[in-house]
Amino acid sequence: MDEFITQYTAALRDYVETGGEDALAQAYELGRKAVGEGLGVLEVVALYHEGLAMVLRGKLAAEAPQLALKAREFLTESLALFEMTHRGFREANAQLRESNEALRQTNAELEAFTYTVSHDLRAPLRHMQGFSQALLEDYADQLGPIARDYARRIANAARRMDNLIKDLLDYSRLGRNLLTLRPISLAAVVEDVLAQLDDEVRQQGAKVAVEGALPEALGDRVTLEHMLVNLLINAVKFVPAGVTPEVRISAEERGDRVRLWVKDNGIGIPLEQQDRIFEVFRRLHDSKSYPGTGIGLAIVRKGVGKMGGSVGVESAPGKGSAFWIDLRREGILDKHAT
Amino acid sequence: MISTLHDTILMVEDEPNDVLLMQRAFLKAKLANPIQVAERGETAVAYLSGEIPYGDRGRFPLPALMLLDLKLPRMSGFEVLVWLRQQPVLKRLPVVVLTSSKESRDVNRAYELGANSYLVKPVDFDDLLETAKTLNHYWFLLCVKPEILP
Repeated sequence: MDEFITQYTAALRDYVETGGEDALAQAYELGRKAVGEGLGVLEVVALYHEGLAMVLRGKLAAEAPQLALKAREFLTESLALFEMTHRGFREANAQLRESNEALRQTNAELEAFTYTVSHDLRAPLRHMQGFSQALLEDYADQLGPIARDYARRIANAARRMDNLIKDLLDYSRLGRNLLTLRPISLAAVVEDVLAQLDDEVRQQGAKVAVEGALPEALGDRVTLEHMLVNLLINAVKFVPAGVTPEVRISAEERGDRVRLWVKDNGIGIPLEQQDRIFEVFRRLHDSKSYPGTGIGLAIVRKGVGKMGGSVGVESAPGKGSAFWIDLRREGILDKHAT
Repeated sequence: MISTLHDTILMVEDEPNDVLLMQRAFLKAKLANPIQVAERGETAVAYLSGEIPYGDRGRFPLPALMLLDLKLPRMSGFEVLVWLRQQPVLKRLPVVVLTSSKESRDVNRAYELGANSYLVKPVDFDDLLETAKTLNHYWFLLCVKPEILP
């Protein structure tokens, strides 16, 4: 640093007294060095003032203004790099603003698109379902058994398509919305979800047990409920024919995380498929044996990602599956929290 | 008080298939109330204001309930709501939004503008039937309705 001060003052004196281009070039180099050493503009200006005072010492008062004017060129040159960097920032900022605006527009377009999908694509499905059911109810005696079967198939197809659209909308809504994370009671969430799924669980004759206490975690309640619904529906759905689905829900604290487990006695998932099941539209089975849209686990993964957590599965064919969700614990900050 | 059975429902709906399915659902739900259909927001406003050709209140009685779709060509359901809530007496008319959008933006806005209820059109006809039954039960049997005759 001292060496730098000496160099700067010497070069300044050189330029003011002899006016050489070399000294001016050195001003630029010294400016670059200052940037490299992490000096700020104000520090360079302070150095310049000290240097200038030394240069002017012993000079005639009448000479001073002219010399000072010349010294200013030196300062300008030594600050050139700062100025350029500054301009670079300004340009980068402007570009950032532009691309932000473009993103905002794309987002608005996407929202409009989702709106259209939810509004317009579902209307014809309602009509297909409604009128084929009207046929079945009002004209059943005039239709043969095959015709009745066809009408039923139309209604079912419309219903399936509607479920697909609904799931896709949920998935895209998750992608767009920013979640506000709050401490939530996993016990309360699980209780609510089980109440929501009461019909499904009873239909499947499934047994669902909550084991041990469930702690609090940081999350968005609606999203977490949505994720759990998907995990539990899978847990009671993917069982071999004739087997009573048994689901166990538990939680454990792991450092700054809480791990929520959903374990089933289902058909299990081969190791090589365990990553892929979280992709959108990824289905391992035909819709006849296990119906579904292939979006459920994608929603789980996207949701948990939005909450700064992760999801995974431990499973083997015939051995059941144990899905886990890791969530952040309340009051424990980590890099996701900032 | 006028007999509940004859209370008119004004259905503001531009999609003829939805009108037909709603009418069928009301019929199946044994809802005897006459239904008037306005296919446009502007038509609903004209009907409620008693403009030509809706001047004859014998043929086009003021409704006791309005079922309002939000997405309509030109004048939207939201705009109909805004207009309605600015009318001196008519602003008391209960409005049930019946639409296919579940977007919270739409839901919140509808309630802000004075909707009394917000229902999403179900895909399954059986669910639509349930909706019609519940509408009947709540709005025509349980609910005490305001006077809207000026």
